[in-house]
Amino acid sequence: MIGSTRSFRDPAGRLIVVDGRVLRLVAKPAIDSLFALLRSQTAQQFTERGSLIQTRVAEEVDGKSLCCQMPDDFRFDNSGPGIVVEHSRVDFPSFAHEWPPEMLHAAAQLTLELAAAFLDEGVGLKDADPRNILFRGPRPVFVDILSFEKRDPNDPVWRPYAQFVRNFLLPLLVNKHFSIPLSQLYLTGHDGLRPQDVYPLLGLASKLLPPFFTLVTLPVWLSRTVGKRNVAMYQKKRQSDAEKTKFILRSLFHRLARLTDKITPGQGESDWSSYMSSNGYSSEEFSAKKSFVETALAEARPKRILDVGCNIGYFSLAAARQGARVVAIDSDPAVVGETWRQALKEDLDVLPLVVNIASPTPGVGWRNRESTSFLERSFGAFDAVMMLAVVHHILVTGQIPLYEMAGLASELTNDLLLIEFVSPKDPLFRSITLGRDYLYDGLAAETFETAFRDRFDIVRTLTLCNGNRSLYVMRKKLH
Amino acid sequence: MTLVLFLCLLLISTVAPAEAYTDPGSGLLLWQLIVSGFVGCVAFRYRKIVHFIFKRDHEQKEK
Repeated sequence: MIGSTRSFRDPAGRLIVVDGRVLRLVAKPAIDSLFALLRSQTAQQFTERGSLIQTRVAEEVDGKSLCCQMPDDFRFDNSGPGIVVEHSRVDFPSFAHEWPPEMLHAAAQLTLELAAAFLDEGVGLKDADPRNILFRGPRPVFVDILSFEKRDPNDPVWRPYAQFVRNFLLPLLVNKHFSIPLSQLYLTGHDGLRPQDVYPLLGLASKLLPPFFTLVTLPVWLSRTVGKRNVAMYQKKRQSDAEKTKFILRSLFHRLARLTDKITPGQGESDWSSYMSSNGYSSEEFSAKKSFVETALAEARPKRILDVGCNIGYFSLAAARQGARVVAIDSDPAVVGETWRQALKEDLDVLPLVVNIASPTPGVGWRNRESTSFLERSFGAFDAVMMLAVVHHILVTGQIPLYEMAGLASELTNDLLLIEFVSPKDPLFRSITLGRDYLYDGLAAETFETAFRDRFDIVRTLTLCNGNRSLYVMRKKLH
Repeated sequence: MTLVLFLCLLLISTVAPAEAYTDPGSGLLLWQLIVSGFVGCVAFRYRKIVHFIFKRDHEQKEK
């Protein structure tokens, strides 16, 4: 069994991908908890609605029985052979550092909903980590089934409480109150934000008022009093009454759910959120652009599309309405959040992510391989790439030359490229050059076409806005 | 209330020295234990009353 390992921190198991199949090796001590979960009615309900990953016991891999196929280093203190289960595949994995706050909030809600729903089944969540969740289109799906374990019916402490606060509530709060992007909070650390990290950011009033008082101030004060009592504090404190335990936990989940509701991200405003009304197009010209794009998509029928610089997702949503699966990226969290809201409302298969194509998400975690880079996930994953009204931003703001852009586009798409060239004479182009117009004196549609002709055949063009904007349908050359 | 505020200000102004091997989760766990203790001792004992109040609130909101 040779595959790329994706998850290994939890000794209960390991996730590997073999020929596109997502397999989880489950250690013997974790098998009972897994079956308790899979057989429960609650798990079946969550699986049916798509919030819990579909899982079945795998009989064989590579045409061979799974017996003796476990990797050599997958050992569990002679606990005996484990089993292998197979998950349904999530088309495009994404991580918390690429989500807008709206998606992190949805992931937090799902975590709490699952923790509360499984109380009566005698199953609990042993961790509360955003990495337990991926997104199918705009909907969260809980994928790390080994996070569930049989719950001690007399233990009233939810161990992942602190982890939930650090990984969900504090990043959401800090993002909401201080406008710090989630990517900055998640890319640098593995375990979210500690109360100690947030405390110095707060003014006196915030320190003494909810929600910071109970999530930051009190825990910081209390941690100063703990000292050497740490170890004893983590010993189980069992209740004699299982009903009382359930009451305490239910009340905790209820409080956390209410708190999570209170920090629902608002509809953000940014420099780009009003772009649709100030994009340089007249309504007739915009209709012509829309028709050009929709015709190209209808002819080529791509199944998987990457929309680079999606803004509020106008063309991503249009492509999804034609039946495509779309990954929509933009560097502005406010417009990505708006795209998510709309995709969820219309139930369209659009996965909106905060990614700047001029500096895409790097690999993160152990050996930079636990959460793979955006480009590693993207190469070969798309039949079509849309780069509409974004080339001038990458060129001017990102300072990426055209031939580099053509190179990346040809690696991202397997076939189709829908791209728009905005000329230096266009008012919106001039508004981002910051007076350095002379740098782009020689740039024209012909220069742009030359840069892309090495790798693409130009199938069709449409010129709009007095010749300042050109739309292209291109097909990748097969070398 | 004044006493509570005074104690809060006193705690804010007292900065303990940072030590190695401090546990970032200890404060949150301790707070969870305090609240759980209260919920277990008080709210559970009077849960019927609590439930009645919340149910009434909920019904009023629905109306």
